[in-house]
Amino acid sequence: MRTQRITDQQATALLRGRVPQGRDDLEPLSAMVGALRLSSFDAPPQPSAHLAARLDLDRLNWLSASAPGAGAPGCRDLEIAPAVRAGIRKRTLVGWFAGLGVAAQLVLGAGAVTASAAGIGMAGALPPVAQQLFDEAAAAVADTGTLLGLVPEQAPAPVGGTPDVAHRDVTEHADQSDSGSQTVDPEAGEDALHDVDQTSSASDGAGNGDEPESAVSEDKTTQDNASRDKAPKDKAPKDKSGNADKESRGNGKSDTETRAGTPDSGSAAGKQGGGAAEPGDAADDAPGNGAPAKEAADKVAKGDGLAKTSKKSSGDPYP
Amino acid sequence: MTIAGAGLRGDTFPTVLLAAQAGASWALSDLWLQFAPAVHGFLKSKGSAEPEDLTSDVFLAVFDQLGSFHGDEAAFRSFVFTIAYRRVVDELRKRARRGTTVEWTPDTDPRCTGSAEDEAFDRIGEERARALIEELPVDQRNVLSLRIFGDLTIEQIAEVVGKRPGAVKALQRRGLEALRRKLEATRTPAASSRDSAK
Repeated sequence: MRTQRITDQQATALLRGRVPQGRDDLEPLSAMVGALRLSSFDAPPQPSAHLAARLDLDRLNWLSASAPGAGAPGCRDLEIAPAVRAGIRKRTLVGWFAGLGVAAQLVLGAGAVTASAAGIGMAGALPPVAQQLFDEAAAAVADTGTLLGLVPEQAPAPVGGTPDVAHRDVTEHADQSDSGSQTVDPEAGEDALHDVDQTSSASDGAGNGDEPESAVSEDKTTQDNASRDKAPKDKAPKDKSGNADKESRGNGKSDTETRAGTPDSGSAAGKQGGGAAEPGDAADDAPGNGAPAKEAADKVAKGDGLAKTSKKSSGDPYP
Repeated sequence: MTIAGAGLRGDTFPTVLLAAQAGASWALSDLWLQFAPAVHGFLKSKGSAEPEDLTSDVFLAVFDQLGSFHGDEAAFRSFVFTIAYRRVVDELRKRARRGTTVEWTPDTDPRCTGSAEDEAFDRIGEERARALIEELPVDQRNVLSLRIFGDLTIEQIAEVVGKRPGAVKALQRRGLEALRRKLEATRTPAASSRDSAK
């Protein structure tokens, strides 16, 4: 096939990056010229120091940022391929970041790393050790916020799901000790078993206050659990284990009466008595107030009734 | 017609030029912003080793000679590209005499193959188009570069390169035909195919 000759008019159109009318065969050529002309609408290069001394750099930056390519009719006429446009955007972004100062680049980088790490931690997708550290940090931040009054009392549970697990462990083991079964929950782990053992020993001595050592160590454990359980306990009645939890609250007499009437609670809750569960209540009544909660727990472990301690610890909001 | 940059239009050019001739830095900045990208592209297409530095040199020369310039925006464009053309020709001559040492980078090494994404981006990209133009004979390349980047007329180009307008027109046509043949020879599936249409 014989190719048609390019006329002067067609050449003029081509050199402006347009396809001449009726010459679709020249489309690749016009696209190539358009890609070349594109660099004419790009940002100007960095001026040399000698030249920059003669320029108004503030105005230059302002004009470059405010209206790149404005007032250039050829730029509007030019059809830019999407791939070329994406390349320009990429170059602009890289150029912007490279133009930042070292401090700004460091701050931006650190911010991006922190945000991504926090996001991954919230999603629970960090490696096990890192996730544990993240959960502890999140719980500490939540506790600090509660202490300072920044977080409301009924704030949602700390991130990570740990409180739910701990709460479930305590109640499940209460159920297990209720039925007298020797089976061990594989999810519970040694700590939870240790809790149950201490719970039973503390409850045994709850009435007479004969075993201060085991009771105190138990108190520490349950106090920790209680401080984690703050939020979930608000929702606890809806849980399957809610009965045991409910029944472990309150003072000794009413507990015993309620337990007797509730088939779910059974003897385990009875065994648990005031000693094991009540420190948690004391801490629950005084959220975020670690020292009064510990005092209350100590008193309970020594045989004092919960009625006294709960009044002392929670006296302000609910007289 | 304005080519590049922001803010300058035909009606404001005389004001900016007067201020620039008086030495106002804001006016010099406007001229730089409007014309520097095109000059930079032209110098790159001519094969300058340091197009950014050379662009700055060109504008230093332009600003030094502003006092002797009289004319409209089209004339100023021709004035700027005349200086740019002479500067790049000087640089190419010097390089031809001394030889060049080029620092190795993966991007410029022809033995390194780019990713599929890069190749797709470069299919009709600026670099490939520049490479095609560089394969043209020098006279054709000069004319096409000044037409494409400088947006100069045939007469203005004839003045810059020191040839008759008829010769410039012939060089332009031959250059475009050569580019078309090169594109057809290296046609990719993305380009339209007249054969397949038939």
